[in-house]
Amino acid sequence: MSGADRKTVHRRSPDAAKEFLLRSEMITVYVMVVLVVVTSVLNPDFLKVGNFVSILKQYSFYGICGVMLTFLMVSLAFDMSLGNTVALSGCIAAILMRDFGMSFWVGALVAVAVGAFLGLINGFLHGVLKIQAFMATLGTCYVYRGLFWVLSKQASVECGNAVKASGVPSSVLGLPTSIWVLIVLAIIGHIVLKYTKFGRSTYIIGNNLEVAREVGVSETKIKVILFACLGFIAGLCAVCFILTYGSIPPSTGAKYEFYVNAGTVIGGCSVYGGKGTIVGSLIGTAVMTIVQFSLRSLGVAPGYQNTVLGAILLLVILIDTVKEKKKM
Amino acid sequence: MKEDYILEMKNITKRFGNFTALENMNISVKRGEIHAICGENGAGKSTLMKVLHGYYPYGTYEGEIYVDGQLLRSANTADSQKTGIAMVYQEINCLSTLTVSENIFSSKMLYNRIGLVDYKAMHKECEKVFQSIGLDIDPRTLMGKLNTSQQQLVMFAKAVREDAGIIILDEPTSSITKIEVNNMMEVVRKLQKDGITFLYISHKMDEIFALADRCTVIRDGKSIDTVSREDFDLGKIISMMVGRDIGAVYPKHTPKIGAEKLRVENLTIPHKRVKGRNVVDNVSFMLKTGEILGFAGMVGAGRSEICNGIYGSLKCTSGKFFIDGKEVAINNVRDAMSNGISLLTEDRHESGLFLQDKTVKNNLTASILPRLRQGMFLSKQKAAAASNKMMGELQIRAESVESRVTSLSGGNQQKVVLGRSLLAQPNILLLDEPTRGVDVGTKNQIYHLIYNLADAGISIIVISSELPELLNICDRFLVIAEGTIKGEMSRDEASEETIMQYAVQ
Repeated sequence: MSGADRKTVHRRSPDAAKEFLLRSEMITVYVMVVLVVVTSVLNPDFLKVGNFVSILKQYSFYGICGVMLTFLMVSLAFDMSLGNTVALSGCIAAILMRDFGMSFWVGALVAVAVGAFLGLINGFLHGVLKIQAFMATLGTCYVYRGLFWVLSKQASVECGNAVKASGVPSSVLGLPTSIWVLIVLAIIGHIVLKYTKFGRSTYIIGNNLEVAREVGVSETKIKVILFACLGFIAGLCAVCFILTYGSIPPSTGAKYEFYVNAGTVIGGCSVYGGKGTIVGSLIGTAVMTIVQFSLRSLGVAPGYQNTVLGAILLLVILIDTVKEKKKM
Repeated sequence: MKEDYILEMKNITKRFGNFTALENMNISVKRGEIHAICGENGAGKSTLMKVLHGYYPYGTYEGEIYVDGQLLRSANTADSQKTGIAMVYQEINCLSTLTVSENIFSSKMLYNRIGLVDYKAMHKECEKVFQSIGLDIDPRTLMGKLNTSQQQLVMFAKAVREDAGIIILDEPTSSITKIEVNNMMEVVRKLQKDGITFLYISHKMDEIFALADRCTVIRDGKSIDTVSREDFDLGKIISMMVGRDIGAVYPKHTPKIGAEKLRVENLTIPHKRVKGRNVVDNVSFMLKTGEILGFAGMVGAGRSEICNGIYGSLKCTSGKFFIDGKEVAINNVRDAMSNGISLLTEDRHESGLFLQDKTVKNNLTASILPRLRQGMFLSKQKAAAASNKMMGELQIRAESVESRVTSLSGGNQQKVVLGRSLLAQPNILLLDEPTRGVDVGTKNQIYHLIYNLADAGISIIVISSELPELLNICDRFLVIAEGTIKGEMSRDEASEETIMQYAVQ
């Protein structure tokens, strides 16, 4: 590199590593490390392979949603209905498999199609009608949840036979299949977000709508596409869920909006838009999953678990906000 | 001899309803020169630049603009950019969470063979452009990490890369420090050598004298004259800038000035975003009972900020306030109000009339709600009585106090805001552009009102960008520029010329 030795004011400083370690998102990683150590000491079962696999399974669902949610966060939008989109699309597919003898593959197609449609509704509400993303998706969140309960009759929808009949393995090379789906998705997501016009336009609309208008990027178009894609990915997540557990229990998708949204924010997405990377979100959602599991392994009462998780999220958002204020 | 003009504006007229912002404006810009455009507040500088940059599309104004001899028919700013006109706005529009090179390439990025964004090529190209204009910024830095002046320079680079032949700089030094101004000027000179033409809008004479080859003075939407560098003369340019028509709208008034009411010592307010720059810098002055003190100066000089500092709505780093000789602490608006200070804000839509869709009564009584209590609850009778009284005193023309504020005319809206300040029964009244957007008749009423208030012993500070107005209603003047007091003069000493001389320093 010819430019490396030239004297410049804003070259990457040797302090880059130090700066990285002091970043706000890193605080949660430290919290996580401490928690993991404490948990392992108090409850050695935490380090067992079986536990590790169940963490991975849960992580893959959060991660799959997190990859796509990152795009939304970057574009200054987010989705409260995420978990219920997973539940509703999965439930419809599972019922079709159970009661109508549909094959797993057709069911999977239905799940992603339903998911994409539900996402499109969100996209229409926020992107076209310009309803605040939070309120629009909070509304659809309850609509989707309600439909899910009606259809599932609040009982577990079993469709294990269809999954078995399809012959799709639930794990490959010792890792859950859903993790492989996550890996492929993350790679695609990273490339799209960082290296395509669409991905960069997402940053532009999240950054400054004035500039977006100047360079001819349509906010509406991108937001609608993003929500539809998120719905599609939620459907895919539901397919992975069915593949892993062979059923859609009533608890499916519960608190996804919290874990995934929090995960992306911890991973460096800003609630003020224009910031975030796939890698960051993968780390963030991993932190949230691990914290969730360690609190459970420690035998912390559910009430306290929620309190701790909520406090962590608030802390991260607080740091984000202080940073943003400083810039003003 | 025929001159080589890169840009010619011929008979540009721009109207907004009945108001004529530009009238038969003629400006010719030579290829490769730095052409300054100067004029007072409201002379039409910004409107002119918006016309030129395509913000007001072709057809919404009269007259013709020729770029390189071709008629410019911009439908939007993108069209103007294509013809090589770039504008660097006062407030820089950038993508702060993306890298410098992405900002440079925001309209069209570079892609590699398989259609993915090619960051390496962008960084390289970026460095090449930076080198050519002598900029030392890493293209990989996040735009948000740069300070305002660096962002500005990046925007120059962007214009250069997009092959802009003409760059418009709109008050480029308004939010950067002195050293950065010199740095920016160097870049401008360098770019000029490379053949780029600049339109430099400013009211700071020292900058214009240091940089410009020619200078066009505009006043009241008309181009007055273009002066070449050899003929630059401060007095001459100022006399061209001032001299607006004054109608017979100013009533006569003999002031009754008493003892010192308010004294401000060493007031300093930092710039919101630019570190190391103060919008108000160590300002000290005093105000007497019944006196009308005028703050003269250009927009952005720090006049409003001083008032907001006194009103406690801007945080100051230093400053002491004395009322009737006793020191008082003003840390927030509540403190200011309890000390009898009231502020009429500059922009009634943004900060003044905050109850946009509420009634006249709601707006009038907003700041005195505690006084209208009856036991625990708000007394409707008291609120109605207070509002009705104000409506009568100020002759607010509305159907009733229950009319929506948005249904009122601009002048009456302004009276509502004023009424709210008055209901608070202040001893010290700060009026920031009290007659903005108000017709002549209402102006006259407002002047009368100001005199009556002063006669009643209220001390008043008036900010106005209309010099003739200020000259006629105030008893004493402070000229503010760059956050400091540049001059003080009495009513007898003051004239448009003397004030401008201080204001454009």
